[in-house]
Parts: sequence; structure tokens; C-alpha cells
Amino acid sequence: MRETSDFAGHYAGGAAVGRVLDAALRVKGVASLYVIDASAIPATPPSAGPMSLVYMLAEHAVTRLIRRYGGGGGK
Amino acid sequence: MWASAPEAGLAGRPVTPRTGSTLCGSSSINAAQWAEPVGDGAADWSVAGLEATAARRAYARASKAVGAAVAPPRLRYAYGDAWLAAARRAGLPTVDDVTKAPPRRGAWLNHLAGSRAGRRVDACTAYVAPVLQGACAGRLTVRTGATVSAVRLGRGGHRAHRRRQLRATGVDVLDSSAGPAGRPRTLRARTAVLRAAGPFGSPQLLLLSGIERPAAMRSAGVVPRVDLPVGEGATIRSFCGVGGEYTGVPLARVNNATLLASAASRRDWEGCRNEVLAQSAFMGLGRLTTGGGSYISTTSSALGGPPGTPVFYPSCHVNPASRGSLVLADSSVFTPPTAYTVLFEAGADMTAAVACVRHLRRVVRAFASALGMV
Repeated sequence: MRETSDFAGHYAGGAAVGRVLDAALRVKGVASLYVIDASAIPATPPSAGPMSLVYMLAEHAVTRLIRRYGGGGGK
Repeated sequence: MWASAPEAGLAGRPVTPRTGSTLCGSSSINAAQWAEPVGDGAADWSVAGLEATAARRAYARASKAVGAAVAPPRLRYAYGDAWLAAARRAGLPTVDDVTKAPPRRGAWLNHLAGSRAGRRVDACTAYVAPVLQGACAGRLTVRTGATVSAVRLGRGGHRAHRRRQLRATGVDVLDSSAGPAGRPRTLRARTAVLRAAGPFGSPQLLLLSGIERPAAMRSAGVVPRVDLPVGEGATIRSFCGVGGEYTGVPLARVNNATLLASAASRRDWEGCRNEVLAQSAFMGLGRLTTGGGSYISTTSSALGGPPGTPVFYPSCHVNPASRGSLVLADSSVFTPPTAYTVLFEAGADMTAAVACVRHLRRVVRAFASALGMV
């Protein structure tokens, strides 16, 4: 196993919510800098590729961002 | 592609992380698998507003946008039913509809992110192209051939407390073809900077912008700005499995491999006359619960390079307990970061992988009579 296994991808968590990002997906201590991709996910999703989860997170985030910034380019 | 740090869990071998600068990211090159994770998924992340109900709604919107579905009959996988039957004989039940409640254990056919006409639907197709063709096209500019080298940070704002706060004011952009020798331009951000550069690209850019542990930053030649554990605690999946060569039936027609193996197939594809790109190389999926659990993907393609020997290869991707890291090698965005993927560092990961491979060996043996597999 150690001689033939490889890496399968599904890398996640390098800028995770909680450790690096706040609940709004903003980098802690930096206003107006957001990370919305697999690095925001705290860990590789259980028994699934990250694609659906990343899309889900983006769908959720854009809803919140539109609500926050007004959806018209911001104020 | 670049080499990771040597992996103690792999007898000192490095692995080769693969990244790219493809517009709209890896959704344009991956297996187009649409698999929603087990459990509530995101409810325990503490993301504002992302409770289980909101997550389910967001999954539904995204699934609709990419057209996730089992392939229509004319695009059915050649040996998909054989996979399900062999898995059942090996004790893994068939899951008819994975969309209602993602099962913790079972086998099913890949839900593709693709159109019913047989074309892949990636993030560009699903989200960017409609905007560029719609009423809001004037508000979106897509720049290709550009590499963001750093996020500009500054202090400012109308109110006193905002004047003291660090803000993202824009990004530095280089001409990708010029490489490190290029002169950066600054794009100013009126409202916010949103990073979506993926699991390697986004941490790397934060690190290059001075957001990380100060000691690690100074050793890479970057001026520290914000002390945060960027790059730490990341997880990655291992890949291992067991193969069976089949000779009783033709090589399955699948994405990429068929195009490489058959000049006629490639001509058809280039002329938009077939749908081979809708046929993921990984046609069957599954889950096991042993240990921390495993995700299974199966292919009937020729892994060794087409035309090659037809091989059915189910592979295990355990849910990792090991935690790796990503650190800067130097201060250039064109130098890959150093990845410590620490595959199998946690004993539980190896235990789950061994159990999974043993189970898949039973699946391969259950295939034997159907496909002439050895």
C-alpha cells in the first residue's frame, strides 16, 4: 500500500472557516477579502468529491454577498 | 504538476499535486462527478446562515445549474450495470437515488455534471457564459492570461474604526506569459476582493500577500501583515485500489481515453458529432463506512494509457484524518508552494484504506464471469 498508493486530489482546508476565515468567509482581520473555494472548507468532504460542496458554498456565499452589498456593484 | 515533500507514509516517495490556470478551475478537467457528501455537510462549519436547510437549498440550485443527473440511456456507461451487480454480490447495496439522502454505504452510477446533449457543464458553462450573454454582460470582464501575484492591503474607510482596519484594496496582476519578469499592474477593488483560486491557489496567494505565521513568512522573503495559520490543517485524499483486466468485452467508451485511443472518435468529437466527453472515465461510485469511511470511484478505462489493456479499476479514497500543510518556497507566485500532504500519517487512514481495498478485491472477483476478468 505504501509503495503503490498515490494522492487522489480533493485537497481542502488551507484557508478554512474558523482557522483563517470568519463566519462570512472573510479573512480574519482583513475587511473585504473573501475566500470562496475548496480551501475554505475545513476538511475534505466525507465520502464525496469537493465539486458539489464548493458549488453549494458559492451559491450560499453569493446570496449573502448580494444581500450585503446590494447586488448592484456595492456602495 | 510539482512534487510534494517526501511522504513518510509512502515510504519516502513524494506525490505530484496537479493544478492549473484553466478558466473556471478544475470543474473543466475533473471527472464531472456530482456527489453530495454524507451528513449535514456544512452545518457544523459555523458559516453564517448555512444551516442544514440552507445547504440543501444551495445544493439544489447548484445541481440544477450544472445539470447533475444520471446519463440518459444513449449515454449509459457500458459496464455500469455490471459494476452495480458485482458490488451487490460483494455486499454493497445498490443506491437507486443518491439525491434524496446521500447514503453512507452503497454503490451507484456517477451523476454527471453535463447537458442532456452530452456535453460537460463546468463552472464557466453554468455560471459565467450566461452572464456574458445576458443583460449584465457589461458588468463582467473576463481577463485571461493574467496571474494575480498578491492582494493589496491597506487601511482606510469613512469611519474612525474603519480607518484603523486592514482592508483589501485590490490585486497585483502579472502577464502570465511574461512570468516573474513581468511588471505588475494593480487592479483596484471598489467593494471587495473575492478569491476563488482553489485549494492550492488561494492559500498561496494569501501567503504571498503577507497573511500567515510571521516566522514562515520571513523565511520565504515575504513581509508579514496578518498572523493567521494559512496553509495549515489541510486534508487530501489518498488513492489506492485493485484492478482486474477484462478480455470478454470491448474497452469501455469513456471520456479522454476513447479520444486518445481512436482517431475516428477524436474526429467526431472535434466535429461535435458525438458525446464522448459526457461519459466520465469514472462511471461508478460508492461508499464504505469502515474506519473513517471511504469514497469509491471505478473506471473501466485503460489506466496505463489507451488503447492498452482494458482494466476495471475501483479505487479507494479514504476520508482522511491526517492533516497536511502548504508553505511558500519563495516569494514568487510562479514557484509552486511546498505541499506536505502526509498521506497515511494517521494510522486510521491506513486501516480504512486496507479494509476498503480488501472489499474492492471481492468486487473484482465478483465481476469475473461477466466480463472475462482476471
